[in-house]
Amino acid sequence: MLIEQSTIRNAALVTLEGRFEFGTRNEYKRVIGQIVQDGYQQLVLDLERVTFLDSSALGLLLLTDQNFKLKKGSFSIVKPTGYVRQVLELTNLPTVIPVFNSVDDAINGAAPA
Amino acid sequence: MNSAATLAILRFSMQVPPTEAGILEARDALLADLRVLELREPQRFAIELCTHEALVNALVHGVRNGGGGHIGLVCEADGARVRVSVTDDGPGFSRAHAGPSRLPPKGSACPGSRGLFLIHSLMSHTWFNASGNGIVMELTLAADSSPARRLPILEWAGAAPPGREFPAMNRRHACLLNSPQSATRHW
Repeated sequence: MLIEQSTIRNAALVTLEGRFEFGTRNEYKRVIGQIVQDGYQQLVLDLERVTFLDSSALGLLLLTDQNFKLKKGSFSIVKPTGYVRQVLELTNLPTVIPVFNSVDDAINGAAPA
Repeated sequence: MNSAATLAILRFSMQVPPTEAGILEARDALLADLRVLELREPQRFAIELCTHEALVNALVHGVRNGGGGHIGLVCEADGARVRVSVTDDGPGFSRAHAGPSRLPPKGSACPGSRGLFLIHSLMSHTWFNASGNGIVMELTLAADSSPARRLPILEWAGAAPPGREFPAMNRRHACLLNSPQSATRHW
């Protein structure tokens, strides 16, 4: 899985590409851990190029959300597609983590999709 | 499966190396062999995800939880269904954790229990053995299969799931039976 990180205004934007699953969990944990340590209050995770997502990834998304809620920050997901989107909806993840159609909407805090 | 001319019966079995790389390679090997069935993409995705979840469970909750290191992956398929079985020699888990209602309530941030929920949601039938260290997942390939027709999770008694024996395999054996071009591969 490829992970790209950038900063937009004061938010951390992380873009994942490929399979977000049990075998790639450590890379995700390392990047998110660093972002938390760097003090970001807002994290936007772009899932548009994620092709596969399992329950390990679901668990990590929820833990990420817990981490940011604990420090009164925000965590949101952008543009999940296809079966990845279906898995998220099947497990009710959008009721916990806001899902947006664009990075701009997520950063500006528009109403979730 | 679209016509009698392409009807095939597939049997795949493998002793899975009890490592992260091993279970992922086993999953990919099964999916590669299943290509011959020409599954529709939603079916292929469901089988991939559920096989993956079961193998991860076998490694994390079986092998790494006091098991001896044995994980078995078996798949049998014909034109009507695909059945995937995963077993390990770990201590198993409580049946109370295997029911379809194990997804945390809506709005809950509980980070566990989603793997079995996904399996039960995406497969047509699911069986567990009494010890909780064996799972059989079956997907019906009929065009009208839908999540709304989820049946309750069943349990089989004895050593083998209904209708099938678990062979003790020491090697991967993918066998295509009753097809116009029968092929057997071993390694």
